[in-house]
Amino acid sequence: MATDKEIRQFVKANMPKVKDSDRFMAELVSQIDLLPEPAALRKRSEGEIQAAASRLSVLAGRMKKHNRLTAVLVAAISVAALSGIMAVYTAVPAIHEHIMQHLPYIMGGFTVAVLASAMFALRRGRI
Amino acid sequence: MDKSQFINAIAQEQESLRRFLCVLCGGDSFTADDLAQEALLKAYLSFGKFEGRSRFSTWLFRIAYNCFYDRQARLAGDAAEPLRPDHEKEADESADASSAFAYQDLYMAIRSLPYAEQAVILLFYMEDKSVKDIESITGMPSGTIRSHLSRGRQHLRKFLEGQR
Repeated sequence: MATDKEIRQFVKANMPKVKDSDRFMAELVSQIDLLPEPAALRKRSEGEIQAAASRLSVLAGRMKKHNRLTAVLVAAISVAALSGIMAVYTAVPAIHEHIMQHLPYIMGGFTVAVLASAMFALRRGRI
Repeated sequence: MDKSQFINAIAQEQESLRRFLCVLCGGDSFTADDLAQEALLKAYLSFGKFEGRSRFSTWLFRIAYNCFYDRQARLAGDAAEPLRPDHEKEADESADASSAFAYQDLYMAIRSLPYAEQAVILLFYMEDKSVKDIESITGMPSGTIRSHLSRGRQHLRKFLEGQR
């Protein structure tokens, strides 16, 4: 009974010999040259790579500047708001008393507001 | 990979691809070369779809195998008959007689097998592909491939014993 090895030897011994590989490849290359070059095979020149890198760095710079300005604006608004609140708190005794009575709830609400703002800012900041 | 690297890569694979198609086409090297050219041009145009999950040669063989089956479907359609399993066993009328005569033993050994079994036998024994590679090339599950291999082996054993 023929073994697997003998079957393989038979197939290998009787497989056709492929001829004219040079002619085949020459024809194929001439056909390929007529076709549009797929983007996946397009070689980028040094200039194209540099241009892409500089566009990225300009974009990164713009994003950093935007983030810095936003941070400064938020800080300024926070300082202004806090100053106003402190002024009202110290100047008006009724408010002072009211705040002291409900301090835990006010602090909890303030914490939630800060966290919600931070989450909102993170979501907006996604590229 | 760029265009010149792609061309170098297919230059290394073209021989085994053409050989596989030649045997599937019953020795008709002209049809086999046409199919190989069609497959390699398709590979060039769709290189962006090659994700690198399989080997490059496996991917090329898959495209070539699909081209062969599309051709069979076209021939069956031209004959205005639906493609049936017994169509798979019909001899290729356009086979090059001189090439077929030169390697007649192999064609005689496998010609009565359905094309799917022929493909599995050739990929396994002639092109030394693994069952996993054959799965990727033919799209058949490994169980089907193993049963095709088993039937093909039995058939070839009978043929070889008949020759002794």
